[in-house]
Amino acid sequence: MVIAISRSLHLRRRLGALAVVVLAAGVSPARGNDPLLGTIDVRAAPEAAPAVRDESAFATVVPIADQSAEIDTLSDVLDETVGVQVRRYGGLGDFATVSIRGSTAGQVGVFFDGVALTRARSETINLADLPLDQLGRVEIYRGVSPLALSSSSLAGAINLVSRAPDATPRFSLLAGGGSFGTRKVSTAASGGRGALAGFLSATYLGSDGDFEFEDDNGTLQNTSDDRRTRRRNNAFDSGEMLGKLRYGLASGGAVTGLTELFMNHQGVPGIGAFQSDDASLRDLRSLSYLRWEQPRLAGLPLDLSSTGSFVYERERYRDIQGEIGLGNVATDNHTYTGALDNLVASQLGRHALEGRLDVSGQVFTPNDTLAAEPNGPDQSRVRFGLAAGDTIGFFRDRLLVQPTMRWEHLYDDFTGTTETGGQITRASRSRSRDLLTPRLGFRFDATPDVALKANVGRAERAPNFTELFGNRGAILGNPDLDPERGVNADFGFVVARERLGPYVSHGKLEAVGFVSVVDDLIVLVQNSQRTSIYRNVDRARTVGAELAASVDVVEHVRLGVNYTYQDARDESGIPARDGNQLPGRPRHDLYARAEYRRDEGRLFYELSFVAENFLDQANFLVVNARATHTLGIAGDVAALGRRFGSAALARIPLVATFEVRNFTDNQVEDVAGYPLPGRALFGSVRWAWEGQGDQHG
Amino acid sequence: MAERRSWLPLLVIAAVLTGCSSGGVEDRGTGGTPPPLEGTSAFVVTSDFQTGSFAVFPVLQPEAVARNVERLHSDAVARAHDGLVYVVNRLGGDNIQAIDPAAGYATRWQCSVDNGSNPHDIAFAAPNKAYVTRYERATLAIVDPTTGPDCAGFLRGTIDLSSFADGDGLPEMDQAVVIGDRLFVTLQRLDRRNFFRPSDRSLVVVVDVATDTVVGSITLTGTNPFAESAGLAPDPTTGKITLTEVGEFGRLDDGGLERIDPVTLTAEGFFVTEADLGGNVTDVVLLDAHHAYAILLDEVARSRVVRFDPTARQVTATLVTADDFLVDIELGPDGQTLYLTDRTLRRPGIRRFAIADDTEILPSPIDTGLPPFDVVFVEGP
Repeated sequence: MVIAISRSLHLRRRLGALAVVVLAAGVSPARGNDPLLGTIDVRAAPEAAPAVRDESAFATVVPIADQSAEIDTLSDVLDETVGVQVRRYGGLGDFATVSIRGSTAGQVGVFFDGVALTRARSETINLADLPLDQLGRVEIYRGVSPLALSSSSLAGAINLVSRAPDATPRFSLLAGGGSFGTRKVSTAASGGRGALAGFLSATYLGSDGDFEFEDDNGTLQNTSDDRRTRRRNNAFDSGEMLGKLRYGLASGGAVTGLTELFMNHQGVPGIGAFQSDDASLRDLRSLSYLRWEQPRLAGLPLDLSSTGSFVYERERYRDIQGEIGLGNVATDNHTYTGALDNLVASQLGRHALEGRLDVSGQVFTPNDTLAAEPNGPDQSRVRFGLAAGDTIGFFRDRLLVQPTMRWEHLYDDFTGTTETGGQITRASRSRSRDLLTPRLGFRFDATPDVALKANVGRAERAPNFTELFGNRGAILGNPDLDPERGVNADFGFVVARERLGPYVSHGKLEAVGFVSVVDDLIVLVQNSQRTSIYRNVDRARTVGAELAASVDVVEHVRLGVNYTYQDARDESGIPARDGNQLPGRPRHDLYARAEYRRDEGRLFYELSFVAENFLDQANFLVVNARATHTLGIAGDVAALGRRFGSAALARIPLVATFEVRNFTDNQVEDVAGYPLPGRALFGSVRWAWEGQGDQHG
Repeated sequence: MAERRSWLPLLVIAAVLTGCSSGGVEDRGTGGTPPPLEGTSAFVVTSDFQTGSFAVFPVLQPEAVARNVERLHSDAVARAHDGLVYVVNRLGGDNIQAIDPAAGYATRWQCSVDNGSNPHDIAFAAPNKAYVTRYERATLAIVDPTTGPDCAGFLRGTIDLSSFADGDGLPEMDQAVVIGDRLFVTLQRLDRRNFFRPSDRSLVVVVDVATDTVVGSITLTGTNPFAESAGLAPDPTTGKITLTEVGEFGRLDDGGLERIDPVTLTAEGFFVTEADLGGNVTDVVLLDAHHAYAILLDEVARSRVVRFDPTARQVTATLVTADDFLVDIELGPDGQTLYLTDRTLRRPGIRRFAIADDTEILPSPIDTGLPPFDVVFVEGP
């Protein structure tokens, strides 16, 4: 969500104003010169880094650079970020979920330009369904949900921010491919005239996904039948289109409209020992919003942003042969979500005030085409939210205190119940609940280069539709479920220094300690021969530390490292589980990148180290520590032409990239039974053109 | 000089290329040392439905329980036969695992019966011949239990039961037992396109073990002969087989207990119904004409272990009531103790009851590590 909080009137601090993003064509992000606001992705040039939305939050902003020609996905970007783990069920295009500071996937809020993508049916987002090429940046908030986002989430939030159109005409075309039949074509165009600026983008990404892996044939005690085989039915084709138009108003405000369309068709292979040849999944998402932003509304010190959005999603899953689970399945589910989100900000003395009023409604319409009664009961959720926050400045704004409070009221309605055996009873059931999210943040600028930050807050996750009302009879509903409740706290510092001697510059270091305790975790328990039910039974505690550092060496070399330590434990009191490490939460997670950059191109190396971690809650299955290495090279043809005196080459605006991922060919798993690809090669070529900006904007 | 230095960090990092481990999966959680096999021991299949294992303890010394001895599939049942324990690793494992209690419960062999086939039961006709029911297949597997670790010759053949399938193409074969020269296999015949509801009459198909041909079938009074983990066992006195027929789960008026006569190949009708007992019967132990135990499941998925009188068709006592999963009841080898696998979330374990007065025997529950799922008994030398 692009909001404008113009603080330049009074809350000017030593490190610059705290305005965020573009209101009118041609205005670039205003906070690129405050590196203490958030962790900057290790790959980004600091001058390109936009501001974060929250003074005290520990957040990472990843600019999705136009000049990047690598075949990356959002999963790759998030996995390299401090404090974040991605669990993959396969390679490119396969299901992948995200965790922040040891959380479950459902405890992370995911937004697109501030429009919530998490659904009441299930909050778990498949990262493979989310775009990357259409984005200007990705914001990751660890442990907090900033007030700028329309709903709270227990562990943190990820906001995908689309590119901002401006008046400069640009066009780019990328084509690439690589291992396992991977192919990609992406194009983008932007430009403007007068008060109008627009951006269009389209991307196709597909892969056969037929990587090799070791198959144990399901017989753990018998290695004689193990064999090397290929992943089957793992191909996918996806398309993403986005159009964005902004109109600058004479009053200084802007109206922005955006439409995003995502389509995906993929095979679902299942576990490695028994691969499905037939199961498939088709997804369709259409997201549209219209946003009005007005600073200094009617000449008053009031900045207003109002967004109306609509999201439609369709998910068709087919397993007619019953190869993935027990039984034949063919579902065609629809979700409709409408929302109106409003944010107002004002400056009163030392107080920078913000308030929110949000209303949304969502309807989930299940359809099981094989069932005797194919149309399942509709499920709906209406959400009403109010939030208020203040950023209070002391000692000439060297100390900022940020109290916020968010209240959300949810009303869930189910027009019937699916009982054991799939019988549908049409008796309506409903449930209301209130969620409170208080939070207190601090920031102290000890020196111009050093900021101390701390946060403490409480958050809740309301049960979703499946947990409350069940699913196809095998999962019974439990309308008496309480929300999951968590307390998060963190403390740390950020240091940024432009020069660190004659050869070292743009140094940044962030170090954070955190603790998270979540009670009343909702888990699925099999309670009879044919049914399972969700219950509030679990408790988890995570203690950890995050370290992120980046520096430029002798101008051309950029080094960066992200390291996360976390001790995530089950504290449920359930025998055989209590005290165990939570599965999929490695104790150590390291990402490091070294890049040598010149005008003619760049050479880069990445190291990803994940410590051993458990695949199961009983801590029987351990996936050993692994180090994954990536090497890559990119060349700018025009720059090379100029360097080597070739006039012909100097006229070709192409950037070619080649990389080898996992070049030591490690065979790993994030989830038991779901192998990940080994060594993979990818290459791409990008052509970009940029004209002169509109002189009359 | 500056250019050479600019390459140095990359060279240093490149030197870290090798020497890091590769991320393979290991089993770390098992390895409990089982007690020596003397007298009779309980072999308990355990699972949290993510991982599986087994625990063992001498029936006279339950405090000597060894937990998490070795990995099993997360969905498995066990059958004791001729000194070995045969673990049927179901959907996702799809194999039979032969465990030797006399050899410290080591695995002799583990052989696939076809991935995705979901084996449910194993029945033995001869030392080198057994039958494995496969829930996701229309064919019954014939296997050779005398195979070795390389599983050479394990799969001997199949018997086609597709003519007994319902509309979804599969007969849902479940339990099996060999009596004399005949194999009896229950066919649930459920519609997997419609939440596994009964689609037609359920059957017991009869196979001649000498010729491996179907020689007849018995049409049951009810539908869905169900057993979560129990096998079929003929009554030692009458030779008849008792089936728990659930019908539709959640309905309490369409099922009950029925005997089939393996000689006359007839079903005798319900001698106790769900309505008599007040729940779906998911497991039963019959002691005599007036003394029996059952696990019942009611309409809201609450479980009970009850004592009932089969002749009077009445519940006479309730031993356990639970909102959690009660899986299996078995009569212990002393003939005086009822064993229950109780998966109550915060207090799982094996519970024992004296059949003389239904009192619970302490210590209870016996902690099996992961929650218990199935129990069988093995005899020492």
